[in-house]
Amino acid sequence: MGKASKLLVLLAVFAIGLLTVSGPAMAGEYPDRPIKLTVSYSPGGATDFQARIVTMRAQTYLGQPIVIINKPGAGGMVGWNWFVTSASKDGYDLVAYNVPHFIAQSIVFPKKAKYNINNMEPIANWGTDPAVLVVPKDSPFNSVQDLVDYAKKNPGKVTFSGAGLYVGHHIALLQFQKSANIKTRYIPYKGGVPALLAVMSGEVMAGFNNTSDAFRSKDRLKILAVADLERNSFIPDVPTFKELGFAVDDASNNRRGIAVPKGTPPEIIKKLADTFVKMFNDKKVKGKMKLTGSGMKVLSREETQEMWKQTEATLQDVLKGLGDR
Amino acid sequence: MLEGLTGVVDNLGNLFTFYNFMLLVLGVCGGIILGALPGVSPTLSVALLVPLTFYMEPSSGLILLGAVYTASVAGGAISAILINVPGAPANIATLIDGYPMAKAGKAETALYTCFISSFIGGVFGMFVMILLTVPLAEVALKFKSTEIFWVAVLGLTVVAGLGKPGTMIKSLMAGAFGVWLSTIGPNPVTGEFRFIFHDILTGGVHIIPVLIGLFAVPQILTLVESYGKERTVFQLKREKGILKKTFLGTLRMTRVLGIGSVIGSVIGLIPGVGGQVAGIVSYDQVRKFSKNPSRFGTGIPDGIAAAESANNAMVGPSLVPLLTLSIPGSPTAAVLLGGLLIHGIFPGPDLFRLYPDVVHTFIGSLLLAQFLMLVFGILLSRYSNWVMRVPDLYMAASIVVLATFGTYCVNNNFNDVIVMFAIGTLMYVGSKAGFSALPVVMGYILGSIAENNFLKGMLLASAGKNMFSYFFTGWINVTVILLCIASLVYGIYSSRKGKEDKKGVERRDLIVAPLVFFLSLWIYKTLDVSDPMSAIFPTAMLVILGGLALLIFILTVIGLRTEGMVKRMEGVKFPFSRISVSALLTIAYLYFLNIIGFYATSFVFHIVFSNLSGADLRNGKSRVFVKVLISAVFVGVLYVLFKVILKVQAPTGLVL
Repeated sequence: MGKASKLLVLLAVFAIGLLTVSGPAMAGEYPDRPIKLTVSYSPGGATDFQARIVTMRAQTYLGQPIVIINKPGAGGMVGWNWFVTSASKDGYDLVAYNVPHFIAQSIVFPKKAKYNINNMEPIANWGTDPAVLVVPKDSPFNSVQDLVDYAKKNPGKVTFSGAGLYVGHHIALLQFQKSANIKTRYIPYKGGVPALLAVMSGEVMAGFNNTSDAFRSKDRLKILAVADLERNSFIPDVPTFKELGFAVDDASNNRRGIAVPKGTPPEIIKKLADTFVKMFNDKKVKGKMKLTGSGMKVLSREETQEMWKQTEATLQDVLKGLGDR
Repeated sequence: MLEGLTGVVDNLGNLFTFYNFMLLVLGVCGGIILGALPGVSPTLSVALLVPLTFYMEPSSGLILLGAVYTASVAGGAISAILINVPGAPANIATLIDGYPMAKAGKAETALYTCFISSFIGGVFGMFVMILLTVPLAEVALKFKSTEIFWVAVLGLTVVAGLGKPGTMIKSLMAGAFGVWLSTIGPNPVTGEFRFIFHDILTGGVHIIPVLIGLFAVPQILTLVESYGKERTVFQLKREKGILKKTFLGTLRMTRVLGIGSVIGSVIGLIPGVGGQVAGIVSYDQVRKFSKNPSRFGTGIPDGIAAAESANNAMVGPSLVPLLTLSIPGSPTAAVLLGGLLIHGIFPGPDLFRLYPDVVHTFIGSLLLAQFLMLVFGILLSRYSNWVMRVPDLYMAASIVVLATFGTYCVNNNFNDVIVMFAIGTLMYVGSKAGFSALPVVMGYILGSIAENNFLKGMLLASAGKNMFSYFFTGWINVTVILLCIASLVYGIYSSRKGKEDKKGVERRDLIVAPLVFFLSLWIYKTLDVSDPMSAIFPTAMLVILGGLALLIFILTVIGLRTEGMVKRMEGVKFPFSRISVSALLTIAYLYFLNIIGFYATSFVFHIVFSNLSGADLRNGKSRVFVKVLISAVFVGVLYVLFKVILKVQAPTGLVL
C-alpha cells in the first residue's frame, strides 16, 4: 500500500467519525421521528394505496409523517415474517395486516409463517372488502341456487377462480362449499385481477372476487351474492349468502388495518390506538377512500382484537386438514 | 376507431400548459436517468413516483407517470450498452450487440440507434393502441392459461440459440437452470414450498436480484480482472456527423424495425407475459431472418434496433387491457392502475366516456413523451464516451454500489442483495465453464409463467375436459404450437448450417459435467413435496440438467479420443489475489451497510475499491483530493436523487 492510499484510508475513517458524531440525537416524546409502516404487498396494489390514503394525515394527528415501506413476497409472508422477527418494538415500526390472509397462513403454514394473532398487537382496523360470487355475463347460472343445483349433479366440475390460496376468496369458497354441501374445483390465480379476467373470459365458470373490482367490470359479469353480514352499498340489489340460506359469514372479508409487534410498550400502543381511530375517521381520509371505491370499516383496538379471535376460530374450522406441507 | 385519435388531438392543449409541459419534461429526463440505473426498472420508477402524484390534479399526475414509464423503458438500454448490465429485464437483448459496440468505441452510435429505434417502435405501439383499443381488448381476453403457457414455451424455444456460438447444449442447460431457479419458493397454484435451502428463500427469488446478479457481478469481476491491461482510450472530442449517419442508417433498417415493432405490440397485448421478453423474441426473429446471422452479437446496430423497437412498441398495447378492461397486462401497468385509482379514476369500459379528457391527455402525454425521449436521449448520448472513459476499478466500484442499491430498493429487503451476489458469483464461475447469462434469465422469466399456467391448465382440465384436448385445441393454441415447432426446427437447422466453425472439446468439461450432474441429483433429493403437481417442473428441469451434463461428458470423452483437445487460448494467469481482495471488500461493504448506513458506507467503499491498485496515486496529494471528490459526487448524486427527492428507503444505520 502506497503512502497516498494510506492517506485515503485515513481520510475515509475520519469521514465516518465525523458523520457518526452528527448522527441522530436521542429521544424526546414519542413520536419524535417519522414512523415506518411496512406493507407486505407491492406498490400500487389495493393494500398499498389504501395504506397511503389512511396515513396521509399522520403529520396532523401524530406530529410525524408515516413512511410506507413495501416488502412483498409469498402472498404477504415475507413482509410479515420480517416484521415479527426483525421490526423494532419502540412504536416506530408498524405493519399493515390483511385478515384473513395472515391468520389463514398462520394456520396452514405454522412452520413457514412465523406470525399469528398472538405475536402481533392490533392498533386499529380501517377497511373491509367483502368477496362476491361472480359468473360471466353469458353464464347459464342466474342465481346461487342454479349454481348449487348444477354442482350437485356434477361434483368437482364447477371451476372457481380466486386471488390465490388461503386468501379471502378461497375462504369464502370453502365456507360456501361446506354450507351448500357441494364439491367444486378452486383455481388460484396470481392476484384478484387475473382471477377476475378468468371469469370474464369464461376460462372458469365462476369466481369469488373483490366487490370493488367486480363492481367496476359489472357489464361483463353477473354478481350473484355477497359474502358479508349485510348488503353492500355499491351493489344494494345483490343479496347476501345469509339471506339466501347459506352459512357464509364475514370471515372471508378482506379486512385491513395496522398492527405493531408484541412487546411494544402499552402506553405507545394506547397512544397509537387512540390516534389512529381518529385519523381513520378524518373527513379527508374518508372522502379519498370513497373516491377510490374502497370500503371503510373503522374498528377500535378492542374491536379488532375480537375480530381477529373470531376469524381465527372460524378459519381453524374451515381450514381443517389443510396442514403445513 | 378514429375518434381515439381526434380525442387525443383535441386534448393536446392540456399538455401545453406551462406546468404540465414542465412535468412532462421532468418526467422524461428523470425517467431516462432512473431507467438507466441497474435494478430500477420502469415498474419501480413509476411506483416511486405514484406517491408524488397524490396531491396533483389527476391529469397532471398521469402526465408525469406516463412520461416516466415511456422514458424509463428506453433509459434501461443505456446501462445495457455502456456497462453491460441491463437497466431492466426488458433490456437484456440490447446488451448482446450494444456492449460490444460500446467497447469498440461506437457507444454514441449505439445509443443513437437505441433511441431512434425506441422512438419508432414506441410511436408505432402508441398508434396501435389509439386506433385499435376496442378490438384489441377482445383479443387480450382470448389469452387464457393454455395459450399463455404455449407463448411461454415459444419464448423458451429461443433459449438454445442465446449463448455463444457452438455452446448450444450449455445454453439449454443454462435455460433449464433458469427455469429451476424460478421454482424456488412457494408455488402459487399448489401452495407448496420448494427448495427453501435457507430462510431467506421463503419468498422465492425475485426477478431483479436474478437479473442484476447475473449481469452485474460477472461484469464487476471482469473489470477487476482486466484493469491495468491495455484498453482503448476513447476520445472525448466527438466525430462529426455521427447523428446524421446513424439516423439515416437506422431508418434504412425498415425490416428490422418492422419486425420489432409488430412483435413488441403483439407481446405487449398478451396479459401476464409483459414486455420483458419482447426484446429478446424480436432479436431472435430478426437474427433468424437475417442473411448473416453470425454477425449478430459482434456489435451491429441491427441487434439494438430489433430489441429496442420491440420493447418500446410494447408500451402502448400493454395499456390496452388496463384502460379498457381494468386488467393490467404488465407489472408496470399494475402500478399505473394504482396511480389511476388514487385519483378515483376507474379504468374499464366506461373510462373513455366518463373521463375522456383525462384519458386522452394521458395518451397524448405518452405520445409526446416519445418525442421528448428521442430529443433528450440523443442529447445525453453525446456524453456516452465520458462513461466509457471511467477507469475499470471506478466502474466496478460504482456497479457494486448501484447493484446493491437497485436490488435493495425493489422490495426493501436486504436478503435480496445477498441472493443477488450469490447468484452473481455462481454465474461468474459458470461463465468460466462456458455458460452464458442470457439463457438463464430467459428461463427464469418464462419458467414461472410456463409452470403456473401449465398447472392451472391441468386443474381446469381435470374438472371435466380431456387434458390433451384442453392444451391442444383452439386456434391460438394450435398457431402458437406450430410456431414453437417452426422455431425449434429452424434452430436445429441453423445450428447445423453454422457447423463449420466447429469447436473442439475442452478438458474442463470433464470436471464441469460430473459436477453439474451430481449437483442436480443432490438438488433433486432435497425436493420434498406431497402434491405431485409441485414436482413436475422442477423434476423435468433437473432431469434435463443432469441428462445434458452426462451427454457433454460422453461427448467430451469421445472427442478427446478422436480429435484431441483444444488448448485454452489465453495463457493469462487468473488474477486470484485481485478477485479475492475485491470479494472481501464487497463482503465487508455489505456487512457495514446495515451498521453504518448505505450512503456513508458506499462513500468509503467507493474510495477504497476504486483505488485498490494504488497505481496512479503516487503523483501527489492533489490527486487524492480529486479521488475523494469523485466518490463524494457519485454518492452525493445518489443521495440527492433518492433520499431527498424520491424519499427511497436505503439500508440505514448509525450515520446515513
